[in-house]
Amino acid sequence: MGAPSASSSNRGPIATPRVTQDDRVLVALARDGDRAAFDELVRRHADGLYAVVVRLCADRHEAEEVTQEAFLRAWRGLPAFHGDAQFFTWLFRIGVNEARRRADGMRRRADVVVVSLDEQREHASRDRSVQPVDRAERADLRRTLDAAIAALPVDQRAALVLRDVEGLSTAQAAAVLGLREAALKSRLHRAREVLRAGLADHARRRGAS
Amino acid sequence: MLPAYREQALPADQDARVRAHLRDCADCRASLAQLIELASDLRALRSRAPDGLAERVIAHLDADSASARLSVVTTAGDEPAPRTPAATRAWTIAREQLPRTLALSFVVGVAITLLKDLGTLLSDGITVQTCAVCGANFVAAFALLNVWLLLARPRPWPRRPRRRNRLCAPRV
Repeated sequence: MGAPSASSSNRGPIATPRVTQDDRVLVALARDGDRAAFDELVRRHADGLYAVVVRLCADRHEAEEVTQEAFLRAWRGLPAFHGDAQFFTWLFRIGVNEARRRADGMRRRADVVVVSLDEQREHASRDRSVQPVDRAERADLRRTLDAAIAALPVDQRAALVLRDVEGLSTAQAAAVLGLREAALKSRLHRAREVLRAGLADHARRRGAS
Repeated sequence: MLPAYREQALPADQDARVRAHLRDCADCRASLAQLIELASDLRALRSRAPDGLAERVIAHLDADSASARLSVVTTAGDEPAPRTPAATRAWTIAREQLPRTLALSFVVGVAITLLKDLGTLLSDGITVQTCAVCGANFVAAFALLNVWLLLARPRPWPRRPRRRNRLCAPRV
C-alpha cells in the first residue's frame, strides 16, 4: 500500500512516500477511464487508508465501508484531480473527511473501547527477543496508548495517527487534513502531551503496584 | 523544539544548539528519551487491514459501475442538469452565513434609518413611512452583503469550538 514506510532509526525522517512516480502514471491512465489502472491504485493504498480511518471510525466494519466509499468518490472525482497533490494524500483526505462526516452524524458514545488486542499480541509475538514479562508490559503500555488515542478529540487524533502512527511527513499529513503545517504541529503537540501524561500515569500505576 | 530535533527537521545551527544543550540538561535528555520511546510505541500501533480488503473495494467499484450503467439505461434524459461547482459554492456560502448576514443587515438598516431620519422620528414617532424606509435599507444591506460574500469569498467567520469528540475506538 502507499502509506509511507517505517523509519528504522530512532531519530530521523519518519516517512518516505513509497509510491510517487508510478502513481502519477496510474492516475493519468485512470483519468482516461482505465479501471485496471485504478484497481492497481486500490491495491496499493487500500490498506494504508484503512489503517488511518479505522482510528476515526466506530468499528472495523465502518472503517471498511469508509475505505470503500473513499475509493468510490476518488474514482468518480478523478476528472477533477489534476495532480496538484499526491494521489494518496488526496485519497486519504477523502477518507478522513468521510470518517469525520459519519462521526458528526452518529450519536457520540461516551465509553471508550480499548482496541487491538489481537494486534498487540501479534506485535508482541513478532519480537522474539523480548522476554515474556517485557512483552506483557509492552502489551499493557499499548493498551494504555490505544485508550489514550481513542479518547483524543478527533482532530488531534487524525493528526497523530497520520503523522506518528502511519508515519506521513508533516507536509503530507497537513495536506491530508487541509491544514497549514504550523496548525498540524500545534495539534500534534497537544496530542503528544496528552499521551505523555497518560504514559506518566501508566508508569506511576505500575510503580505503585 | 525537541520533536523537530528528533525528526532532524531543524536548521543546522539550531540542531547544533539543541545538541549542545542536551549535553548539559538532564531534563531535556529525559524528555527526548520519552519522545523517542513514544514515537516507537506509536509506530507499533499501526493497524493491520483485514485480508482481501483491496479486492472487496474493487468488487464494490464494479458493483457501482454496473448499477450506474443500469441507471443510465433506465433514467437517461430524466436526470436534472447538475449544478455547477461555482453555483454550489455560492449557495453554500450564502446559506452558511445567513444568520450573520440577516443580523448585520438588520443592524445596518436600523442604523442608516436612525442617521437619516432621526429628526422625523423624534418629531413624528415611528410611522409606516419610517418602517418602510427601514425595511428598504435592510433589504439593500442584505443584498449588498450577499453580493460581497459571493464576490470576495472571505475566510469564514471563526466557528465556535466543537465539543470534544469521544468516539469509540475500533472494536476487535
